[in-house]
Amino acid sequence: MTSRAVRYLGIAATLGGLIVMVAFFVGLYTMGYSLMGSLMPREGEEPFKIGMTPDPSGALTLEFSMGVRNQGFLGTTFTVSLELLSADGESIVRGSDTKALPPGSSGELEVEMTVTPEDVVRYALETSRPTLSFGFNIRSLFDLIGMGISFPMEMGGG
Amino acid sequence: MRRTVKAVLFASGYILAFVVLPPLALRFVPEGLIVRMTTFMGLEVQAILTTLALIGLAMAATSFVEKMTDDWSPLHLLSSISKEGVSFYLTLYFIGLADPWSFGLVNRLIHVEQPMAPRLALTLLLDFRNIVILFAFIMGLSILKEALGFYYSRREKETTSPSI
Repeated sequence: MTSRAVRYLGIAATLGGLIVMVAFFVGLYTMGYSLMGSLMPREGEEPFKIGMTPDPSGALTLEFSMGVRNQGFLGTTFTVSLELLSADGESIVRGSDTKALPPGSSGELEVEMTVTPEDVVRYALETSRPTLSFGFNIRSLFDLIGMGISFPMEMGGG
Repeated sequence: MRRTVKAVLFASGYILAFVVLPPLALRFVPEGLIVRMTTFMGLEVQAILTTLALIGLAMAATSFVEKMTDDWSPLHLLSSISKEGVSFYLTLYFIGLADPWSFGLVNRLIHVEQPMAPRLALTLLLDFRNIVILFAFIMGLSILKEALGFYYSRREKETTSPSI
């Protein structure tokens, strides 16, 4: 009886280890492949579109859109987060969008941020070169694992 | 005799997998890729090989002692637990991209070369903490199994051994 319990524990540990390892690699494959597929789209396609349009009131609207593809075997949640930073590194405005996609499907992440006329003047956005901090995160395997990249993009003044 | 052969075979397997094969496999990796791994991701290939070799030697030693000793021996229990610990360290090492103490939360700066543009500094974030917790739980199960096996075989030995 007791040796049987020990044997069952051993089987449970071995099987558990194998299941976790296989699930981890499938999740890793899903995230890696989806990350690459979203950031490096097919030839002729752009990874993302970004536009900054001034408002008659003096406000600035920043529109961002990005196509994402789940190219793996598991459901995946994509999140894009943006933060506009002044030339001195101060946070001006931030926004994000999240989309959960089943395997083999694609979608669009969209973020719209508005900088108030006061902030446009305060941070001299018409003349300075603000930075857009871009963050892209993917979670998979029932939200157990995550992967992401972030980098700053220098925006043109005005 | 049979036990010794088994112990030597298992220990040799670990030495082959962790000490002998990785440097041989590295010969087939293009040199440019190794340079890029070092420059962009800060992964020192030689340090990784040394760590793998040390892990392999530790696995071989613990496996040898484990196979050479009886289930009721405290040395057997100690070597089994040590082997579980070393293999968990190996898991942390791989999951943490050569940084086991990150415990599955890797935050690494990568420099990417761009044609006709300055180098781009990307931050790569990997969050595998839940996987580390699952592997830790499995290690706990394995240690529990070894401890129970030790306890019952020791009790069995005490009841069956002739009294003086």
